[in-house]
Amino acid sequence: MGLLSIIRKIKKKEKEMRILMVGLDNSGKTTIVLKINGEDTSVISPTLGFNIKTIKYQKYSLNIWDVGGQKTIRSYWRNYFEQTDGLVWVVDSSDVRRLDDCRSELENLLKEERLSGASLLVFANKQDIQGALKPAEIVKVLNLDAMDKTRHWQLVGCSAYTGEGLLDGFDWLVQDIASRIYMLD
Amino acid sequence: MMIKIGMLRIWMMSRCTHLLLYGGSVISCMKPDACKNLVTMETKTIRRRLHHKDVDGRQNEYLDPSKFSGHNEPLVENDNDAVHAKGYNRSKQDSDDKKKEVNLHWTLLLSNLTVQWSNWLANIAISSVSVVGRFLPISFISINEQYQICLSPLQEERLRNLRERLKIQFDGSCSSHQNALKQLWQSAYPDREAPPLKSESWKEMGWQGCDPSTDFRGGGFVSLENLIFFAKNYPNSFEILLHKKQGTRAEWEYPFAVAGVNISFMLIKMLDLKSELPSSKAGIRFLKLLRDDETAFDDLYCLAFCMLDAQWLAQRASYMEFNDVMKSTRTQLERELALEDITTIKDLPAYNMLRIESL
Repeated sequence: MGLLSIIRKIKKKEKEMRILMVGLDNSGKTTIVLKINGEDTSVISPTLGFNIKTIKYQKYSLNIWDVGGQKTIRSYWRNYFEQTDGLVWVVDSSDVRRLDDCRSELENLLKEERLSGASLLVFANKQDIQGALKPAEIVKVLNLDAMDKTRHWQLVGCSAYTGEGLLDGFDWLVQDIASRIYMLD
Repeated sequence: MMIKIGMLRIWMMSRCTHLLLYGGSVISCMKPDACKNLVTMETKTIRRRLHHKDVDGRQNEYLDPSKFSGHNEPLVENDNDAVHAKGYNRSKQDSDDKKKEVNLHWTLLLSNLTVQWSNWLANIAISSVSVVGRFLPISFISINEQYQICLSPLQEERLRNLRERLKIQFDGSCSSHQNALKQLWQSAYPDREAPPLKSESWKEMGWQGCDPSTDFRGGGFVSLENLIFFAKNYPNSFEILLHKKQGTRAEWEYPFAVAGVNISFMLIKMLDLKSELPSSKAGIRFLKLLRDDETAFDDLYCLAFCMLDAQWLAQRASYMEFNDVMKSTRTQLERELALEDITTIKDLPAYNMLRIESL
């Protein structure tokens, strides 16, 4: 029985995925996490520091690290890179003025060696807002097609406000990570 | 007590079902004679357990869910049973096979019936207990608390007004909202002219970017009102916190204005102001405060800000620990609100922090 429970524990541990949510401030990272988890999204304040949330998703347990997007904190993101299985980059598609900033931050992030194996999901958030750039346009602006060919990436248009697209994105991310890590299952 | 007994019964039922169901699946892959023995063993085990429990009176042990965490127990239990069944089987090998089969048939039928009955009974027990368990105490408490509160028309109106305020979204295109931002700037930096709506200068006050309007998020005009109220009514404390004048400051400080927005949202959640009638203890206590204090929410906000800063210093926290500090601030605030004889904000022990104003 002892051995059995140990094996189960290891098994359980194996099914964990570590996911890092980053992006500029006010892009909707916290809202996405809360919406996925079915929590109230009407009272959300700017994230100072970070939030950790563990969510059961399909048969996996997602350990989501939602780190604030404030400029002063961005250099601090690197402290969270270790053992990251999935990277979620959230873009405010309606904030056209900051898209350049957004692209350069993402480029910097992807240079990071510790993140080289992580699957990248880009959420083109706030699609419900009028005037928001469409997912295809965001791919162009962020120059995602020029990305390193070894990187697994996907861009999904979504609205954390309505919830649209969120599950599509996470489905892809979880499947992609699972196919890399848990191939034997 | 009733609920305890109910829980016990559910557990007993589920145990029966578990053992029998699992027994059933083992049976299918064994010889008929072994099956019979196994079935009888199962029923014996169950009886013995039932008896054992009734006599022993160790209810509490069985009520601990960690001791029968569904996954492990049936497996282990059945392994033992199978071993027992083997020994039993060998000693009785000479018995009449036909008789066994008839017996087996009846026992199987009987066990099936028992499974169904126990399922049925367990369902009834579960539903009734959950109904009783959920609604009785809660309705009892809320009725009790509601009688205690007895909102006066004045309190009701104040609560209604506060709720209306919480609904207002910050709108950067609305001139009164723009003026409010300017007003906040002027109270914070009386000698400097207010910057345009988008300016790097806003970061000095602790906004995340050059456009404060993005920091109000979903709700939010109330958090600007809170900050203005703080600056107006407790100017000394406001200045101390804004310029981080007190204590040994961290290398990486929390941004003042955005922390303020976080406090507003924390209070809204803690006081349960978005629901029809507050169900949290702090929320119910807060309604009492509204009796004598129309601005109870804003006063509580100022107090919470001071408490947050004090906690920040006491914990020697740095930026990344902001959420921990916020949590302990909330806990402290809830504890103080739960104290006896609190009728106004001034009765709260932490109010001392705001007394600096009168010095």
